Amino acid sequence: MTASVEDLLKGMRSLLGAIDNAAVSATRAQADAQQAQGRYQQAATGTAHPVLVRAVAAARTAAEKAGRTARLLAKSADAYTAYVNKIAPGAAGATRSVPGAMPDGEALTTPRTGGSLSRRLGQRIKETENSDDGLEHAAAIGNDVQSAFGAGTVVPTRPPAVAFTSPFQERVSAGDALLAALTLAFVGIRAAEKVDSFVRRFVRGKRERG
Amino acid sequence: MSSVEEVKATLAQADESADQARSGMAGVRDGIAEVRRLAGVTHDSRDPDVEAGHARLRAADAEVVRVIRLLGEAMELSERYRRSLG
Repeated sequence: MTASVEDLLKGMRSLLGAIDNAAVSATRAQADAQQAQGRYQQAATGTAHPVLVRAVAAARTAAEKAGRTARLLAKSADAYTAYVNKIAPGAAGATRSVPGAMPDGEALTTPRTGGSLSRRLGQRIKETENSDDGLEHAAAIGNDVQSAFGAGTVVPTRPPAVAFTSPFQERVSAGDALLAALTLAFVGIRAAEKVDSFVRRFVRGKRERG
Repeated sequence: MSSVEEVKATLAQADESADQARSGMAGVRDGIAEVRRLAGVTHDSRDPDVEAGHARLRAADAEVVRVIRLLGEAMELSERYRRSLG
């Protein structure tokens, strides 16, 4: 995963945390406004003075709107959370994020076992860039395919599907294409080795027969 | 029935709560400004969820402005009533 996606996820985590803080503050302010309304109401007991009645109404509306502010902030967080989950499915949960609920970008983007197959292959290919051309280079690539798959059965892991165009997505596509090409190359190399072995045996046999 | 002094004391408490709420909402406004700055990380994405998030933030900000105005109005009215009590 590229740094840009990691940065985006880190940024979104900060954003969701900041929204949560603002929503908490709005809820506290709502409680204070309700308390103010109650006290204005108490002071207005036994009087219908229009000025005080208006003060009570203003405080009540302020409290309602402070609550609405908190709800709007929560809905805003919901929307951003949905966006995060499009980028990295499950990264921010199904509901509104709270600080610490969402793994940071680094945790999300650090490969668990050395990265996806295509990425590991890409790295291996980089390492063999200086090898000789021709069969030696192809053999090196074949070895890379073998070592990338490992001794056992390895199911290539795919990064989560992303819903936007990014350098990351391009890299995934390039990596998958590379994987397909290398697989073909590997199959070709193994076939060539078998043919070569057959030819050597055939020539040796012919020499032995005279 | 409460005495004038008791009413004045109650109004003072009410104003204190209203002022706390107003300060809190001013903090919310600063918080929303920070969130909008952080939202720059989306790089003006046209994704519907991002646009919905932005729209709700704008709506929240507008509500904050109204709340601050209403609380100021309540305190002003309270002060006017207190003066009328002598």
